[in-house]
Amino acid sequence: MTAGEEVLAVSDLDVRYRSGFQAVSGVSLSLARNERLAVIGPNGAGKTSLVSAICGDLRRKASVTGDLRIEGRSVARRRPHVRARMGLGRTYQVAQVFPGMTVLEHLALARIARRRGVGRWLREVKSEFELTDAEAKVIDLLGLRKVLTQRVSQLGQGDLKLVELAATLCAEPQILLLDEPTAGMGSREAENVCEVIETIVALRPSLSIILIEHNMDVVFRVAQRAIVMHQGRVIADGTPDDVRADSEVRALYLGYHAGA
Amino acid sequence: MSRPVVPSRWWAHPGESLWVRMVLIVVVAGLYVAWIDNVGVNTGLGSVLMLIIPGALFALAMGVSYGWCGLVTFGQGAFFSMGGFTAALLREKELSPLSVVVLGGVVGGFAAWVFAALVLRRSTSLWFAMLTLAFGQFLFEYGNKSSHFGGPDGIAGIPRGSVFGQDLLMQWPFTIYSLIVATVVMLVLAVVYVSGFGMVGRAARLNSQRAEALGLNVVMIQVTMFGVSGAVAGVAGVLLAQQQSFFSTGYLGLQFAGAAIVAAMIGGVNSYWGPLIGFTILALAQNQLAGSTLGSVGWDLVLGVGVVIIVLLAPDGLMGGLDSARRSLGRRMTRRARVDRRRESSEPRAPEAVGEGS
Ligand SMILES: Nc1ncnc2c1ncn2[C@@H]1O[C@H](COP(=O)(O)OP(=O)(O)OP(=O)(O)O)[C@@H](O)[C@H]1O
Ligand SMILES: [Mg+2]
Repeated sequence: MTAGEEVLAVSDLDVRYRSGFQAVSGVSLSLARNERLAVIGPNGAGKTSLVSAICGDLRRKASVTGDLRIEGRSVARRRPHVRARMGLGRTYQVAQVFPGMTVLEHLALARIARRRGVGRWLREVKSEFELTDAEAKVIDLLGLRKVLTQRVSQLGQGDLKLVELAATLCAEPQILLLDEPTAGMGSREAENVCEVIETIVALRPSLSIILIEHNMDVVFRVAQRAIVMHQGRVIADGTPDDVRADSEVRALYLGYHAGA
Repeated sequence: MSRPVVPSRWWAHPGESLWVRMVLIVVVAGLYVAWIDNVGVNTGLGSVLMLIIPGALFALAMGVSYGWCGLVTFGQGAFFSMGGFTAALLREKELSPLSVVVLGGVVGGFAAWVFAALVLRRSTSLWFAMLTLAFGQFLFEYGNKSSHFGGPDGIAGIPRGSVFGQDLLMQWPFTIYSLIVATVVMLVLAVVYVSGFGMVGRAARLNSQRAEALGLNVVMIQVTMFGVSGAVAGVAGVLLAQQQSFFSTGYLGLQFAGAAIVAAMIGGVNSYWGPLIGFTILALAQNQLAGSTLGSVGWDLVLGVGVVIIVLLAPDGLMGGLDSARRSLGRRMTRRARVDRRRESSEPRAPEAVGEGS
């Protein structure tokens, strides 16, 4: 496990929705182990489409062409759960949870997802169980201990994003794709999410992250590299500082988000 | 460490003491039926129970398909009929009724599993629902045309046989036999429900995209669960065929499946007991109405109104409604208790710890 080793490679990715709209055109990118890459760009630039295509979530909504490799193995034709088991884990712009289940049940699902073998299907899932050390760390980090036994339908949107993140982390991905983790949060909560990401990075040295984010403070704190998307294409790629200095980027995007 | 306080929801989540409960239910129901028979007050409970069990299991098969893994189905009558016709076609073979039950379950389950495996490979849940409908209708037409299945007149003379030396011809031995078969089915389903497999099935219904993105093989789970559902339907079909000594293609029709869907909805598709309870309530209500002047028009009316009420007031059915009522009651009571405690002592309370790391 050397740093700099490529864990995710996307080449020449096109995403064309069933409506005929081309949301991503010819995007290539490469993610190294332990690298944190931010994807920024105006609304509708195709950031979410890119991440969904990487995870295989668009199978029925769009035609996706181009090559996609996880740890060197091509996964372009693989179903989403296979990609997840090869190390992809994602969160969504609008939190995706299992309504009616408790937070603990979300962790139980992540546990089943994480484990191998037939036993995980057969073993009884109790409505209460003890957390493993790793799970307890995630839960405490995200401050979810108080709501463990609550159903997610009783939680607010901000907490739902945390529950979703907790479930994703407990599935122990190698490549974490975060779609606007701070959307709809105040600056204090966004600060908290930054700390969470930094702690996770410290806990899991081999984790790579792709972060879609509008909040430039978060980008500067978390990311080592940033790409800027516009109308489905990558228009800039470099360190966050380089990207900020780029005149085209300033004109197209950062102008509206200056100081955000 | 302090244990998390989780209200036990045994009606929704069959837990460890399930064995005891099941055995108790069978014993009590069996004794009651035997008592009624012997006392000679034939109120018809025995016969109602005997009639209810296959239908209730069939409603449960609907629940297992939709509630337990998110596959809407109109074609469960096909697997029910496969069970029924297994019994009908083997009527002259002098097999033990129990082995016919097992065989019917295997036939229904295997057919359902193959069907789901073929369809879900390529298509979405919506298409799946459509194709179950088409499949059921196809078998209905085919069964009526073909000479093997007795056409619309059906096949009569299906024997009940005897189990462990007990002749099942009389009403109460057969009722108890049905109860025991149903109990075994429920026990197997309880194991399915509480297992990781059952849990992932529910997750697939609630948000299949999220479940897949977590790394759970939703299609495999749905195919397997649909097989389980088909097996339950098959067993139910055998029980009905044995009980009536008769089976026909009529059970492939939409009306039969429709009634079971409504029953499952009324009871609560997602819960463990819901479909059974829903069907029992419907059957008893219909029994009551049959004697009244309302007649069959009244029955359809009751069904329609029942569905509308359920959809509007308790989308998760009676069991779901009961569960959420109990939860909100529990919350209110904890809140009150907390306020009381705070009044008693002015000390700041430590945040409740739930589930320590191990
Ligand atoms: N299911 C769909 N069918 C058709 N077009 C879609 C679909 N989903 C997204 N689009 C279009 O694709 C384009 C890119 O959408 P996408 O969600 O990837 O943008 P984004 O960069 O994530 O934007 P935002 O910052 O608002 O989240 C948008 O113009 C959008 O309207
Ligand atoms: Mg987006």
